Amino acid sequence: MRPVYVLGVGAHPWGKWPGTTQVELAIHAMKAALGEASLQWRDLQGLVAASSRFEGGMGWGLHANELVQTVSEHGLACINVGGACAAGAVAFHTAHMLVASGQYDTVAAMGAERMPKGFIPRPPGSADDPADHDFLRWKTMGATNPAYWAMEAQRRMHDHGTTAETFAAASVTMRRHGAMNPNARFRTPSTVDEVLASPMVSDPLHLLEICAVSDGAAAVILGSEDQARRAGGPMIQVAASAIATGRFGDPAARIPTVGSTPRPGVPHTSEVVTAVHRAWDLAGIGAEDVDLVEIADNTAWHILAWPELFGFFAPGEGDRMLTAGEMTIGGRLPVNPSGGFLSFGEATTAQALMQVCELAWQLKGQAGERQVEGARIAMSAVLGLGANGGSIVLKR
Amino acid sequence: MEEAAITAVIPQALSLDPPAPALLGTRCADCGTLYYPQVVSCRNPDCEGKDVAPARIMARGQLYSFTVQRYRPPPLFAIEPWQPYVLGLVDVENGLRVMGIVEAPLEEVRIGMPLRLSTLTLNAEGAQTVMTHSFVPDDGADT
Ligand SMILES: [Zn+2]
Repeated sequence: MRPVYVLGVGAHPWGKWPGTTQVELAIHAMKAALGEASLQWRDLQGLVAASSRFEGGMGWGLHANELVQTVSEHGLACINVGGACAAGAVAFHTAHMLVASGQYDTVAAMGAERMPKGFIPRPPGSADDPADHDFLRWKTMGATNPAYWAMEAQRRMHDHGTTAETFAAASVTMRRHGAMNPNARFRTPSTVDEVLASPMVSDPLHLLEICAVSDGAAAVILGSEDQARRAGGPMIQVAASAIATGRFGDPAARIPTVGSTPRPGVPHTSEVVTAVHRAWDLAGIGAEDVDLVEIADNTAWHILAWPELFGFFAPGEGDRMLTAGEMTIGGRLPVNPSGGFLSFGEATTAQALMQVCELAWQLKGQAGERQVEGARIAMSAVLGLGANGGSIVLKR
Repeated sequence: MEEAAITAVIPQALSLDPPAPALLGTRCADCGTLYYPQVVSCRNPDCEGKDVAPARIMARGQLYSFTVQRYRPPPLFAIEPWQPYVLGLVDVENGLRVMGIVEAPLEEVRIGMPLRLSTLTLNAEGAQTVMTHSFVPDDGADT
């Protein structure tokens, strides 16, 4: 494998954009990334799209093909990958391997999404399969996604004494970061009182402690060392990318599971923990080397729990780290300087690539008010349906 | 024939036969892993045989965690009348953790409380009553 570099990143701001199609969001993000890379569409040798189930893709998840048939028919390789909310990381990993193999010098990874309103529903037309957890969770108990996260949060209160105020403070920290990010959808800072006064969705989680759904798009262009020198600017290398799936015995309350088989000694959220540790091994780094992390904060619980799961903090230590300011910009481990999902709302297939955009901007020193000073190693972690985990490490 | 009009919301996943309701799952004949809902293969990577057989799960256990479903879920969950309800994860038997509605007042719900499987009426229209599985506080008596 040869070294691979980030040539450019780009995004369409997150929000609700009823007048903009999924393809238009994608074009916007790609144009920005190509601009950073000083490339034209015709220079791309490959495009890997994170396939959405919600819109576009010609009904077959062919989002890369749809995009090049709209913008640039020059015969490049198109690959469309699934992975639900982790699809962007799977797309990145695929693009990374394509360039690392030596066969491709310029490959883009792209995700663009327009989300339906409200709770993410059961896919229309799904069969009524009595062995399908997703069918059972809707049909027999009406369990929405926040219910799963809420049960993790409730258990954390029991195990570690986490308070409602600490969960709220995690949201407040994310909102403060997001207020400094022009790509974030929610850019008004909140207070602990405001978070606690927002409607209870699934006890103990309030509305402002749960990520919304948004429309957005993000793109990352990877290339060879020669391409990176041509593009100019600081050399941002892909230190590692890794994807993984879940392990038998994982104790997580995993959407949409209604019956699980937890076993002692198996890591919680094992798909993501495995991806993170695999990426650290490949990059030759450990927790102490990471300058900032972008994680999939579907809720305030994730902000406290995930850094512990990866080994940044001891179990239960996250609460104290958060309240001591160690998870904000300037702290020991800045978590989601972008503002995270809580400030963006989730645009599923695009979200993991937005994480990579933030890593790149931070390492290039282009993150403005939310800049983590002197950042040299930055990483992401994301989780998707089907027990998909992904983690990407960039270094300057 | 009043009893014949009572059905499980998913008959392949819940048995209403006397003497007590049971979840319909699968047990691996090789490694003993118990699954709910039913599976076509054991997924334990340490298990080589992976031969499975149907299992009735009477489900007594302890509450691992819980929440309240405060917003009405999509119409696939056909409960009438609707009101917020407690959802829980219950450690039942053989390392199986099952999710379900907990029929207890929120102020009495505690992590670790003993629960047993029960049934809850989702809706009743004419002579037709549709039941789903639920968990109720377990007083320890034989059912
Ligand atoms: Zn087995």
